[in-house]
Parts: sequence; C-alpha cells; structure tokens
Amino acid sequence: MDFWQTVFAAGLGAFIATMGKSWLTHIVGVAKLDESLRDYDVGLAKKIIFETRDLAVEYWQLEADDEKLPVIDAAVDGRLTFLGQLLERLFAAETLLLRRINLQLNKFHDAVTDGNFGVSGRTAEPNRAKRIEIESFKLAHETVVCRRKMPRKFFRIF
Amino acid sequence: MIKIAKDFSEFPGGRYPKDGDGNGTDFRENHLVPVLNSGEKAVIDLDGAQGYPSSFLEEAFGGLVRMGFTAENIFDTFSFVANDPGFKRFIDLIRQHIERATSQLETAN
Repeated sequence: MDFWQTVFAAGLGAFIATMGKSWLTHIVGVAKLDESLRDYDVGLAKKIIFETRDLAVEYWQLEADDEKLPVIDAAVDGRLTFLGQLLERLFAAETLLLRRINLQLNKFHDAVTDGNFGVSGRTAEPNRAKRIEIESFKLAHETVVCRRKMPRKFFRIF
Repeated sequence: MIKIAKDFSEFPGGRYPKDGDGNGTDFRENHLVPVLNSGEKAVIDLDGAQGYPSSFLEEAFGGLVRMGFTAENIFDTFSFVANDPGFKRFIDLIRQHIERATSQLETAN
C-alpha cells in the first residue's frame, strides 16, 4: 500500500466514524427531545386539570342567574376538550395506558359536567366540590403513573 | 348518518329547550327518537363539535331509556364514529349514561 492509499483509507475511516457519531448523536438527541416533550405534555395536562377543577368548583358555587356562568361554562368545556386531545396524543401509542387515562378522564368529566351543568334555572351545588377535587387529583395521579409506565425512548431513527 | 356538528349543533350543551340551542332534549326528540321509531339503523358521528358535556349526553341518551327504549334497542340501532383526537372517550360516556339510566330505572321499578 503506497502513501496515498494509506492517507485515503485513513481519511475514509475518519469520515465514516464522524458520520456515524453524528448519526448516533442525532437519533439519541431526537429521542431525548421526545422524552422532554412527553414530560412537558404531562405538566401541561396537570395544569389544565387543576384549572378546570378551580373553574368547576366556582361554577357549582354560583346560582343560575349569575352572569359569569356562561363564561365559566365555555372555559370548562374548552379545557375538557383540549385535555382529552392532549392526553390522547400523549398516550396514542400505548392502548392500555390510554384506556386507563380515558376511564379516569371520563370520571372527572362527569364530576364536572353531569347533573345540571348548562341548565338554566338550576340552583348552586357547592357540595360537588368534594367530588370534583377527588376526581381531579385521581386524574393527575393517573396521568403521572401512566407516563412512568410508558416505555422510555433511548433512540429514534425516524 | 347523523353528524351532530353539522346536523344539530357545533356546541352541544344543556338539557332542556330553555337552555338554548344544542340542548339534549331537542337532539333526542328530533334526531334519535325518529330513527328508533322508524326501525332503521343510524351512525352517529361525534366529530367536529366543540365537546360534549355529560349533562347533554345524559339527557339525550339516558333520556331515551326513561322514554321506554331499552339499552339493547338503542345499541342495536345506533353505532358511533369518533375520529377527532380525544373524542373516542365520548362513546364510552354515552354507553355509561345509557347503562346508568337503565339500572336507575330497574331500581325504581
């Protein structure tokens, strides 16, 4: 092997090693980003759960003629729909975990919006606060538990 | 096919006509009962609406049970479609309201 063949072989080897390292760094980096986004989504879900809880507790303390009711009604509806979308996207690849989350989300949804929710002329029901509080914390807990049960991504090629 | 957002309301909510457009009673009376009485089958498409409060779903579907339709009759007549993200769970909620109304009726009788 003459001098230039040696130089070429060494250069090619260095190039392949550099490309390989870059590729590995990339797929590990993308997986880390995915994990960070999942954690961010869990944080966002908890924030929305407790915002909805606060709004719902206020809603059920008010009498039907309070002019704030339609605004709170809309805010609760919007948050519940967004929460369902967020959690389904987060657990889309994990059917069993999504099923667990949806069961608890529906209990929270019921605690907040069943009975006389959106009914004109209804009376205040401050005693619902307890049920709403309990179901909100159960949903937050279930979200955290299911997140921990998700298989961790160490790399992602595509 | 009954597409709720298009054929009824994009903002379903409330139980009774006095609660405004999109209430559960109107949906039950004008869209569900005619299909049940006709003996035909229908697909209910839940996509496109802004969400479904439990009170609306209970009045619309639980109300069918209180009107005398059996859960078997309702499940046999209607099938549900929900492809929007986060909307499949509303199908479970509808089933729960029908089953709950059935057991409440059985307890009362």
